[in-house]
Amino acid sequence: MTKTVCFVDEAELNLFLDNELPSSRQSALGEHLGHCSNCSTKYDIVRGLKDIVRKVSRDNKAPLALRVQILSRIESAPPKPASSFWEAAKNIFIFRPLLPIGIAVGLVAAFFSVVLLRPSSSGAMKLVNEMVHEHNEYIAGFESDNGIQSADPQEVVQWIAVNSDMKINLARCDKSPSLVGACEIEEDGRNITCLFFDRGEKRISLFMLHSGAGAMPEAKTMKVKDKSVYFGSCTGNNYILWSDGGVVSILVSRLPENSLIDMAENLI
Amino acid sequence: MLTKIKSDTQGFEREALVHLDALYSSALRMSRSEAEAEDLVQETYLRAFKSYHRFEKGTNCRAWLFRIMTNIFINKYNRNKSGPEIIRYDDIDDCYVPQGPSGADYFQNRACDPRWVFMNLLDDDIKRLLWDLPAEFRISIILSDIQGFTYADVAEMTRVKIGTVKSRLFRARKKLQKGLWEWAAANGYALEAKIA
Repeated sequence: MTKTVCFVDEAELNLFLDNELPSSRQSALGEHLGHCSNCSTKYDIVRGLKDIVRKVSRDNKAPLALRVQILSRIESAPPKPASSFWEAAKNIFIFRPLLPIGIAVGLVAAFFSVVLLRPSSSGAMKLVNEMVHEHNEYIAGFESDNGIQSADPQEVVQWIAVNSDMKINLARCDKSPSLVGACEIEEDGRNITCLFFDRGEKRISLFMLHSGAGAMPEAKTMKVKDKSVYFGSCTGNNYILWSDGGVVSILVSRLPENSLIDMAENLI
Repeated sequence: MLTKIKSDTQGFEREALVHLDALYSSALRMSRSEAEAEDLVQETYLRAFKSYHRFEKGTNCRAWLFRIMTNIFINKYNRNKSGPEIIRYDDIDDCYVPQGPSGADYFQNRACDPRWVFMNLLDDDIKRLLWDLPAEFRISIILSDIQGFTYADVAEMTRVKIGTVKSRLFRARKKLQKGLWEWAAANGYALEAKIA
């Protein structure tokens, strides 16, 4: 019996499999595999392995919470930060005249000028940039004067908690890792909920919302797992907010009400 | 200005977020845990969003996102000594490939046939072996075999020459093949005596 031994380079079979050979060689080798059992057997093994790897690696569905977090973060991350506070402020008053942002800006400005920029024996934090973003949200970047280029947002919140009268709950939630602190303050007889978010790149953002029954703009109250939550819409986003033992949690997304409630049910 | 920002955001969401599942799946195979994978994907999207104005509309958004994610992963683990080992492809000796009997004898015993043996391995075993590959090999398999990118794409994403991609893929497949065969032999799916 005559046995034909063929020496097609195995590396070339891999290139053929990936359609990475020059077209003339690709078709010649394809033709060869059609009648050479030795090479086609080797090729079947290589192809079988690739098929199996693809079969077991079908796309996993990304968790809903991840999708929401990404949406929330990109919607809160301006592509180009405002160059100055005044530019940011100008945008606010031009584009957001109907939001109760004035009170937030006033409070924040007073807060940061009086509290945050106050010299401290433990090392002062210096406000280096700031702006108010479209979700009624104040974003600020910090530097500390102890040689650190910029401060960790969670440290900033801790620093505020220590150096001011604000009773800040340092919040950490697996599902909302960017929430680093929350508190309620009273201003002119109204309760204001403050939410501190780590926005990455040493920036911290502060949501200031009216809280208390019926005081939150466009919010309605409902029960989720026997807990009162606020649901509302703002600048095209829906949000759901609740307080638990003094820690305030908020989800902001374009997801519909039902989906947000489902998520809140898992978190409460 | 606000209109522009909103338009950018909506355009980005429409064009980029459809690839979330593919990115997350690949991140799961690159990283050590679901939490790490989620961080990797979040960082990828944030970075992509910030440089979205530089993205050329109409070009391959999926490839662009994978390039960003691969860069973040490689940079992160090049910095992190405790991460998966990044190895030089040419430090790996040639892996051996089990050779069954050839010709007509080949199908006499299915337990000698790598195709049959591989088909009977459990998905989890294959995933584990895939994970056990060195990071550079695993990334090549993920980008080429699973996500279907060309060698040129993979070379650009991993910042190496096309020749290196070819070599990594070839060696990765051989290493995977060897691992699968050894696992099959150890678990009675293949005839160990025939592998030598």
